[in-house]
Amino acid sequence: MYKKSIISFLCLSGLMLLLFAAFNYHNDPFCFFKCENFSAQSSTANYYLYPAQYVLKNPDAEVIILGSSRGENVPEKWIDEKTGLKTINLSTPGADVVLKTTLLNFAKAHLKNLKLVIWQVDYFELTRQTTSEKVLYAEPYFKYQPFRSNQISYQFKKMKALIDHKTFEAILKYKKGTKPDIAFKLFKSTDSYEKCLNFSFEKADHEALKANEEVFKKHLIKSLQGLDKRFMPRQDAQYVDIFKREIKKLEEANIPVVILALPYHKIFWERFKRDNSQFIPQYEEWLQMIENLKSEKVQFSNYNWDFPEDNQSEFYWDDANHLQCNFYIYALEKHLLKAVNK
Amino acid sequence: MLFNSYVFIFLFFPLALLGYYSIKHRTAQLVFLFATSCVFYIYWSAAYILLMLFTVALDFYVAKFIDLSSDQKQRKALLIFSILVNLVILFFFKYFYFMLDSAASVFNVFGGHLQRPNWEIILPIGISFYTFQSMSYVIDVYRRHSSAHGNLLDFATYVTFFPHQISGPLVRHNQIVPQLEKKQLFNPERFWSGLNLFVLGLSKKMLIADRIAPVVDSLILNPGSMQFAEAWIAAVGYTVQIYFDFSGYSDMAVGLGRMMNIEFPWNFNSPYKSKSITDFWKRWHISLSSWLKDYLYVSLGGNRKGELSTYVNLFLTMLIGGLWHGANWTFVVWGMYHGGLLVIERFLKKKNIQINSTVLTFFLVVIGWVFFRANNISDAFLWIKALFSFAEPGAFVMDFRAGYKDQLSIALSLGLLIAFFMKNTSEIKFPTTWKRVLVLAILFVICLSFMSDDSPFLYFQF
Repeated sequence: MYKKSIISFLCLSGLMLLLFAAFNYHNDPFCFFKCENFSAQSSTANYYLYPAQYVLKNPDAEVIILGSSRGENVPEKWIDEKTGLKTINLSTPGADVVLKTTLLNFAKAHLKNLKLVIWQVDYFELTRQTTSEKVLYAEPYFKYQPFRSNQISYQFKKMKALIDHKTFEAILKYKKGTKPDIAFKLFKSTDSYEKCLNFSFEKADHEALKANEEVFKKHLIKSLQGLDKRFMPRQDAQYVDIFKREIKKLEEANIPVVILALPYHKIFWERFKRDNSQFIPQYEEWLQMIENLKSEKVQFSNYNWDFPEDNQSEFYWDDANHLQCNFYIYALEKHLLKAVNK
Repeated sequence: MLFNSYVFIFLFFPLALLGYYSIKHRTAQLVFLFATSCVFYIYWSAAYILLMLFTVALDFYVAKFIDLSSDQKQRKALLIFSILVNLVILFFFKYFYFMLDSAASVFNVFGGHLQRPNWEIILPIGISFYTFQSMSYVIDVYRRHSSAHGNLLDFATYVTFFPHQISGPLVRHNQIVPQLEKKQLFNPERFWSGLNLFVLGLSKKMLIADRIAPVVDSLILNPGSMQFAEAWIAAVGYTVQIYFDFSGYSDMAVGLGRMMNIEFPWNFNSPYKSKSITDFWKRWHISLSSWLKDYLYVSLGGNRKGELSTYVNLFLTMLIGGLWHGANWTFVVWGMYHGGLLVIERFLKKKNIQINSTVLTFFLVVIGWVFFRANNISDAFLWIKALFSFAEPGAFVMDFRAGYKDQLSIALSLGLLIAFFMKNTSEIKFPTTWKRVLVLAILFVICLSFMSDDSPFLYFQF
C-alpha cells in the first residue's frame, strides 16, 4: 500500500513535471529555445529583447545609447537634432555590463554605420547584482555575449527555465495581453524630451515647483529605499575587464564613446556618506578606472557627485536616482559636439 | 546545500538514500551516512568541516575521560575545558566583531579609538547548532544522566547527520545515537510519512514564507518612512514568514530523518495558538528552549534558590537565548523582551493571575519579532513607532509593487489560517489515498517550479 503510494507519487510528479516543461518549451515566452527566426516583429515576453528589436527596426541608426533606467530619459530626438545623426536609446532598467555589451555587439552586427556610442555607466553594472537569466539564455543574444560559459552547465541552467514558475506566468500574462512587469517604453525618452521642451523653469512653472516642494521631497525620500545597497558589493574583476575591453574595442574601431556618469540627488549622498562612508573608496576606485580610459576617442562626462547648476528640483530630477532630460542636455552638449567634430 | 534546491532533491538525497539502504552491514551503513553528511557540509565549505570534526572529536574524548574518572575535581575541570573551548570557538566566529564594535562604541563615547583588525571572519554554517548539541552530550555525561558512548562513529554521525546539521532540531544524543546503533532497513510506511512531511515543509517554506519575504524585506529597508498599515503588514508578515520558514525547514528535517528511519523530535507545536508567553515557549523552537532550560537555566540554579533568583535566571536564560540567534543588539533586546514577559507571567501566576489570551499573546509575539527582524535598534524603534502611528496622515496607505500585493494577500491569509485554525504537522495523518498522492504531487511540482528563486532558510544565519 505504502510502496504503491510512493511509486505513484514519483510517477505522477514526473509526469506532471514533464507536461509542465513541455508546455513551457512549446510556448517559450523568453526566447530561450525556439528563436531561430528572431526579428523586429517577433512576439516575446522577454523585455530584454525589445532593445534588440528596436535595433532591427532602425538599421540606419548611427548613435546608440546604452544605459539602465537612469539612461532611459536621454533624449534621442535632441541628440538627433544636435548631431544630425539618427539616435536610438537602448537603455533598459537594471542593465548591467553583460546586457550593455551584448546590445553593443548586436548593434555593431546589425547597424549599417554606427558612429557614436553613449554609455551611461552605473556602479552596479560591474557587480553581478543585476545580471539576468533572460539575457544570458536568450537565444538571439547567445553569439553577442561577452563571455561563454561551459556548454553543459549553460544548457543545464537553461533547462531550469522549463520548470520555472516565471516561465509559466509569463505565458499566462502574455496570452492575456498583459505587458511584462517592467514595461520597456521605447518611446519613453521622446515623451520625456517633449516634457522637457514644455517645461519652463523661469516662468510660471517656477511657482508650481515651489508649491510642489514638500510633495517632491517625500517622493525623493521614498525613492531612497534600498538605493545604498547598490553601492555595497565589490565589483567583479571579470565584469570590469569586459567593460575595459569593450571601450578599447570601440576605440580601435574608431567609434567615439561618451561615457556618462550620472549624479545622485544630494539627499542620497548626504545620507550615504553619513551611514556608509566605508564604501566610498571602492566607488572612487571605479570612477578612477573610467578616468584612466579617457583618450581622443573616449570622453568621460563625469557628474557623479554633483553638477554646478543643480537646483535639486524636478527640473533636473525625476527622483533621487533618475534624472530628467534637462540634465542630459546639460551634461552631453559639449561632449557630443566634440565626438562628432562639430 | 539547501533542502529546497535541485541538486539536493535530484542528486544528493536520491544517492544518499540509494547508498544508505543498499548497504546491509550496520557499520558500513553508518560510515556511508557519516561520509554523506560530511559531503553535505563540504558543499558549503571544505575548510570548515575540519572545525566541526574537531568539535566532535574533542567532546567525544572529553566525555569519555569524564566518564572514566571518579575524581570529581578532575571531572569538573574536563567539563569546564570542553565548555570553554567550544564557547571560545563559537564566540570567535560569531561574536568577535560584534564585541569589538560594541567596545569601540564605548571607547568612542570617552574619546578613545579601538582599531578593528582587518580579518575576514566567516561564520561557519551550523556552528551554533552543532556546538550546542555536542556540548549537551558532555554535560549529560558529567551529570551522570548518560554514560559516554563507546563508538566515535556513532557520535560523529549523530552530530553531523545532514538533515539537522545546519539548522536543527537541536537533538539530544540519547534520542539519536540508539537509533543509529541499529541497522536501518527500508520501511515503506515511515518513508511515506517522511515524504509527506518533506513536501509539506517544502510547501510551507516556498509557497508561504517566500511569498511574504519580498514584501517584508522591501518595507523594512526604510522603517522611518513606513506608514501605520505598512508597519503592521511588515510585522505580521514577518511573524508568519519566520514561522513557516523555520517550521517548514524543521518539517523537512523530520521528514528526511523519517525517510531514513531516524526519528527526530518535533520542533514546533502551533506556537501562534499559545495562550501565554510561557505557553509560546513550550511550542516555539522546542528543541532550543528545552536545551536552554536543561543546560542553562538549571545550571544557573533554576528555581531552586528563591523567587528573585528564579526571575534572574529566567531573564538571563532568555537574554543568552536571544544572543545565540545572532551578533546584534536586536537579538539581545528580543531575548530580554521575552525574558521580561516570562518573569512578569511567573510573578502574576504567583498572585493567581493567569494570562490566558491567544490574541494578547500573538500581539506580544509580533512586537518581539520587530526587534528580531530589524537591522538595528534604532530601526526597531522607528518600526515600533510606526505600529502605533494610526493618526498620522497617510496611515493606511500601502505602497508596494502590484505583483507583490497579490502574492502577499494570498500567502498571508493562508498562513494565518493555517497557523490559527489548522492542525499542527505532528497531528496530521498521511493516508495512502489517490487524493493524497495527487495533492502531494501537485504541491511538489509547484514547489519545484519556485526552486530557481534564491531562498535560503532564515535560521541558516544563526
